[in-house]
Amino acid sequence: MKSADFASLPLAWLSGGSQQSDIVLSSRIRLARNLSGYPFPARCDDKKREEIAGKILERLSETPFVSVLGTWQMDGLDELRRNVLVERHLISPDFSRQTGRGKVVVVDDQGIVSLMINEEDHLRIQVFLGGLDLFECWRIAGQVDEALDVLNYAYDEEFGYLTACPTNTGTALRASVMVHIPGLEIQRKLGKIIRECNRVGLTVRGMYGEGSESVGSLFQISNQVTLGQREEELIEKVSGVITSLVQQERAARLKIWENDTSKLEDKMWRAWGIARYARSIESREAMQMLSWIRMGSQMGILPQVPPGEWNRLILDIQQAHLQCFEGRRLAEQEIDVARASLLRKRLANWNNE
Amino acid sequence: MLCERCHSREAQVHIKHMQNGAVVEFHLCHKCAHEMSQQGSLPKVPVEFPFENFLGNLFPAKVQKQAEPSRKEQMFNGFCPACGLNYEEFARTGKFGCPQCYETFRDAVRHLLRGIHGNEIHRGTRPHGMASKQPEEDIGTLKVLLREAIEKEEYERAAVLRDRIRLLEERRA
Ligand SMILES: [Zn+2]
Ligand SMILES: [Zn+2]
Repeated sequence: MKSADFASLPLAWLSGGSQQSDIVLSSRIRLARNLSGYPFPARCDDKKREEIAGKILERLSETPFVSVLGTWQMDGLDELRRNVLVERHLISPDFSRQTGRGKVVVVDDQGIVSLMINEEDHLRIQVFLGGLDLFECWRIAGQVDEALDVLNYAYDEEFGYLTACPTNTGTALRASVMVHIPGLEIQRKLGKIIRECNRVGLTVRGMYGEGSESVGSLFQISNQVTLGQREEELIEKVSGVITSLVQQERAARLKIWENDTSKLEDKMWRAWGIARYARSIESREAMQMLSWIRMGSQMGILPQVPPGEWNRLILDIQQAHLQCFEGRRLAEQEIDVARASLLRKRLANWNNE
Repeated sequence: MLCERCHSREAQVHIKHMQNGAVVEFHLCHKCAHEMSQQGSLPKVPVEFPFENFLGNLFPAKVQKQAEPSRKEQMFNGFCPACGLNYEEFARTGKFGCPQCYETFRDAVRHLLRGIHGNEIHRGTRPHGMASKQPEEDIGTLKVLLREAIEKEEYERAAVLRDRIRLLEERRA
């Protein structure tokens, strides 16, 4: 597959969702599963990992409702393609750095389901949808899970699904939601929100998960605990917190606008100006400008950039994406120039200033 | 988890701290933790605070003294018979070697899971193949565990087990 096509693999969530999709970009359910009778991947040799991958892929090919678009051995992908998969949230940063045979990523043709085989666990099932739609993600993940469970999962009556890391044991379910909350950030409410989330057992992270910095007012919120509660209870807790966060964000935007309309509009139009005309722009600044543009567009202050286009933009301006579109590796300065050029061209389409 | 002070870096320092008679939790990045302890708004904290140490205090130093080492632990002298992982390595890395490790270190695992999740009894879905298994079996095992828990005066765990048994009995009804 050409590198440019690789950077345009389908992702259903990009075209938006039906619920709260002004504030919520995407919902994701991730299940970890392991096959009994094998050590966890870190203690497997190449041969064992290939055997495990073979079993999972064989079973998957017999599963009618997952139509596979691509199956890639990680050690057959160059660094650029691996990084594109990370930027598209299809694999973890950790997985992109792992070496050895039998490490496989599978992507379906709808851009909803993806699998990581032999990451930290034998199998990670991931389901992504747009907007706040965790229960539907869970329904789909459950179907895939059921189809594969003839493989004889490692399961214990007391502890539930057994995983390599005890932080995933039990349901082995992570429900995470990506939100865009610039209003609450302007009102300096993030510290309070992070504390409240932690208090009820949720974690707040940046756009690219563990260890990543937050950029463009994008945050990932997910359950921390995986054991002792039913899947539905875990999902309901995350959904409930997000629903209240969405209301707080909407109220915050209105308040900011009422307090100082001209200052807010000035900020937004300046962001538009930079994104529309800059000749070189770093990732962090670009994400910040796009954050203003999304908010301004939704509040009817800036030109209307459709949500789907905006979602695509935040991925397309990432560095591995830019290099894949160019079809070659670029120096850091060249990346900033390519980013500015992409933003100029794409935003020109919505230019009814 | 993001640092609750700067909201931009990963929180890597986790502190529980008594303040005016209440326990206050801090989740901070290294930089903010350092700055706050310089300002005196935090007790002096070691700036290096790796994950292992954070998990480390959840592990009993040895398998708890009062708990009898399980038959398997005695038999294999603290090594998992399936993958060869020993208890020290497990405690150091916080990662299991294979599914069998859970059985090998069951008592310690219980303690560890309770520390992480506040609970150690799974209440979620079960693999399909197991659904056909008679629920009586489960309830039997759980009742034994419940008796054990009460004997060891682990009342929180006993409450969870009792709930789980009730749940299964409801499901069977
Ligand atoms: Zn910080
Ligand atoms: Zn083992």
